[in-house]
Amino acid sequence: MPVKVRRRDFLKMVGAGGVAATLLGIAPPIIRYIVPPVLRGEMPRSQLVWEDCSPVKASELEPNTHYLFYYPLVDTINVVLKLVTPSGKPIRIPEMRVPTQMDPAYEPPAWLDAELSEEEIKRLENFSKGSFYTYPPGVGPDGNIVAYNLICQHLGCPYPALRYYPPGTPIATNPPEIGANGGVLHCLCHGSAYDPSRGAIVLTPPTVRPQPAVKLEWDPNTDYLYAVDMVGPTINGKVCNTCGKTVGDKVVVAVNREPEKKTC
Amino acid sequence: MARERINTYARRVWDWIYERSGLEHIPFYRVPYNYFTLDIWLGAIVAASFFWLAFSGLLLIFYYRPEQPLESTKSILFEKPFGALLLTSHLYAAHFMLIAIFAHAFRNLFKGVYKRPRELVWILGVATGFLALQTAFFGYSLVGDRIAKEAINIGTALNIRSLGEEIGLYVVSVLFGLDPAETYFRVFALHVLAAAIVFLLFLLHFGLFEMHGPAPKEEETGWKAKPEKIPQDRPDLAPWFPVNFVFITAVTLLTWGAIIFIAGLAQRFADLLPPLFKPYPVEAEDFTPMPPWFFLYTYRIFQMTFLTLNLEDTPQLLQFIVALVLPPLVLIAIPFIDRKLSTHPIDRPFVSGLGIVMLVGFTQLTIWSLIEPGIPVGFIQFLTVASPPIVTAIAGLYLLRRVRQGRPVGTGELLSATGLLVGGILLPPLIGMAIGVPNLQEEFIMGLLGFGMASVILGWMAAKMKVEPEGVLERQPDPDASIPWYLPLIALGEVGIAVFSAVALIAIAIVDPVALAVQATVLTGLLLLAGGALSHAIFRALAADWLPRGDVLGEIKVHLLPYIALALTLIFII
Repeated sequence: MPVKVRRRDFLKMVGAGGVAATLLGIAPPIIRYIVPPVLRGEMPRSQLVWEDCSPVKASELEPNTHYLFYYPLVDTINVVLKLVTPSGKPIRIPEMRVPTQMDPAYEPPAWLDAELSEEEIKRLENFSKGSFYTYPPGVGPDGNIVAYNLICQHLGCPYPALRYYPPGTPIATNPPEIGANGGVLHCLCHGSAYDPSRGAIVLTPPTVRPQPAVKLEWDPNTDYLYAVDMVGPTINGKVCNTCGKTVGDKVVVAVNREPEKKTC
Repeated sequence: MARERINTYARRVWDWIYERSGLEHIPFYRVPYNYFTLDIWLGAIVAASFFWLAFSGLLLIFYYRPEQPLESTKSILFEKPFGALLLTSHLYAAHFMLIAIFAHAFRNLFKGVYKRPRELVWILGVATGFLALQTAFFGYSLVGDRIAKEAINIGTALNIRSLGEEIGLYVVSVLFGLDPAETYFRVFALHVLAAAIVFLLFLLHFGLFEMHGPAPKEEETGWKAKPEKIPQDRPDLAPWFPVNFVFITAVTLLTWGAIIFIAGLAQRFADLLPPLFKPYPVEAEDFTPMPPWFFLYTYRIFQMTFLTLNLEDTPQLLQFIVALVLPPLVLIAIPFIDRKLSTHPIDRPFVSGLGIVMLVGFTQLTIWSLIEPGIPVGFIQFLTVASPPIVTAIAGLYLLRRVRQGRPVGTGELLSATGLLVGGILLPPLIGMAIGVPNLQEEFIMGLLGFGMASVILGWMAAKMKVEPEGVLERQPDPDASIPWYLPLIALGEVGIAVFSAVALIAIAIVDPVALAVQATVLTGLLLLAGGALSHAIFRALAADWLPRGDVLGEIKVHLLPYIALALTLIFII
C-alpha cells in the first residue's frame, strides 16, 4: 500500500534529520582533538648518568641509598639499590622466578642462596594466581645492585610514599614484615610492603602484585650501568610500560631525591 | 528648596533608569513575601558560590602557570597582593558550593519538588551537580602538591582497572594526557572547560526553574503537588525588582562573606586543620594521601573486595559503576519512579528511603574512609555499616506510614519494627564475630552513626506530618510597626562594621597586603557579611507592608552573622 507523505512533512523530516546529522558531525573532530596521539613507544636502552652528565659507575654507589631515576617513561620513577646485610656485607642477588600475582597469605621462600627446590616451586605455584616471570640477577662487581619501579602496585602512590627502609630503620605506620636482608620497600599510603632482596615480592598486603623491576646491565670494563628493560607487572597507572613519553639514551640519577627533569 | 530640587532630580534619574532598563517587566517568576526563606533559596546559595568561584578563578588565571603548578600556586599564595584571599576563598568556595549542592538536592528530594512540571529541572540539576564534582576534582589536582599528584596517579590506576586497558587508555589520555609535561595544561583546560559547561547547565537549570517558579509551600498545598505553580495573580506577590533582587543580593553577599571569612580563619588556623582541608598545598611526606572529602565515599567502595570481578582486564568495573555511574542514574530516575500527587516523604516511602540511604550512606562512607583509609572492606564489614540505616529507614517509614494513614499501631507492629531494627544493627557484627572477622569496632560505630542520622531524618518527617495551613498574606495596617525598634540600630552598627573593614582594607592594600594576607581575607569577609546583612535589612523594609513583626530571633538571625564575625575578628585576628 503506498503511503502518502505530504510534501510539508517530508521537508520537516529531512530538515530535522539533516540538522541532527550536522550537529553529530561536529563531534568527531572535537573528540579527535581532545584525545592525544596515543604513544606506544619502543623500550629505551639508557645509560645512567649523574646530574652533571658524567656516567654512573657501579663501584661508586653506596649501600642503603636511594639512587632515583626515571625510566622507561619520563614520569615513572625507579630506584637503584645496592643491597647489603645488616653487617654491611654485599648480598649476591640470583635470578629468580617471581609470581605476577600472589595470595597475600603466601609465605615467601626462605632465602635465595640457591636455586628454588622443586617443592618450593610447587608451593609458590599454589599461592600464585597468575604466571611467573624471570627476575634478573643483581649486577655490579658484587652482583648486589638491583633496580625497582617506585610507583606502588597497590594504588599508585609513588616515591616518597613508597621507599626503601634499610635494615634497622623504624617505619611510622603498619610495621610490615622485614625483607630477607633486613630492609623493606614500604608504602606509607596503605602499608603495602615488598622485599627488595627477593624480586620485590609481596611481604604485606593490601598489594597482591610485586613491584616491577628495571633490568640493569653492567659493563665490567667501563663499570657503567645501563637500564635496558622492565620486568614484572605493568607500571601502576600506565596502560603499558611504554605508553607515554619515553626517556632518551641517558637518564639522570639523583641521590635521595627526585632527579631534575633534564636531558644529557 | 535646594533639597527638594535634588530630590526631584534624583527621582527623574531613577525613573529614567527604571523605565529604560525595563525593570518593571523582568520576566522572572514572582513569589509571595513569605517565600523568602533559607530552604527555598538554597539554590541561590549554590549559584552565589559558583559566581564567586568563577570570578576568583578567572583572576587566578593571571598568575597560575601549568608548567610550574606548585611553584605558581605558592607564588599566588605567598607573593601576590591579595593572592591568598583569592586562592583560599576559591578553595573554600568549592567546599561550600558542594555542601550547598548536597543540601539543595536532598531538601528537594525530601520535599518532593521534582514532580510535574519540574522533572527536567531536577534532571538538569543532578547533571550540573555531578559535573561540579568533576570540576572540583580537576581543580584540586591543579595545585601540583602531594594530594594532587596522588589524585592523578590513583585516578589513572582506578580508571584502567575499572575500564580495561583499551578504553582506560583513552579515558586517561583525555583526562591527564600521556605526556607528563602536558598533564597540568590538560587538567587546567579541563577544569575551565568543565566549569564553563557547569555554567551552561546552570543557565538551563535556572531558566527552567524560572518557567515554573519555586514549588508552592507544603503549608499552602497540604503536601500535594497541586497546584503545581504559585498563581501569578495573588495579591501578596513581591515585585521581582526590587524585593527579590535585594533578597538575592543579600544571599549572594552573605554567601561570599561567609566563604571569604571562613577562608581567612582557615589561613589563621592552618596548622590545626587536617591535610584535606588545609588552605595551603600539602608537601608533607608522612601523610596518607586521600581523595578530597567529596570523593572519599568512592574510596571505601573501591575497597569493597566482594564487588571485585574475576576479570583479567577490568576487576574493578563493578565498584566503578556503584561509585560513579549508579548515583546520578538513580537520582535522575526518581521523578519517574514517584508519580504520586502527595509530596509528603512518608507517602513516598521508596524515594524517601532511597534518599535516607544515599545521604546517610554518603556520610558514613566519607567518615569511614577518613578513619580506616585503605583497609579492604569485606561483606560483613559492609553489612555492619550499611544495614543499620537501611533497617531504620524501613522500620521508621513503615510505622510512620501507618500513623499517617490513621491505621492503628499495635504491639505487633512495634515489636516487628523493633525486632527488625535490633536485628539489623546487631546481627551483622554478631555473625562477623561468630565467623571470626576481626576488628569490627569502627564499622559498628559507623553503623550506629547511620542509625542516628536516619533517625534524625525520620524525626523531621514525623514532625512535618501535620503542618499549620497558610493562606494568602494580608497587608499590614501599620507597616512601620512590623519592623522592630532594634533593627535600625543593628543596621547602623553594620554600617559601622562595613566602614571599619573598608578603611582597614584600604590601609592594608597600601601598606603590605602580602604580609597581612590573613587580615585582608578576614576583613573582606567581614565587609561582605555586613553588606549582605544590610541588603537583608533593605529587604525587610520593603517587605514591611506584608510581613508581620516576627520574634526576636527570627528578626535578627541574619544580622548575627556580621556581629559574630566581628567578634571572632577582634578575638583572633587583631
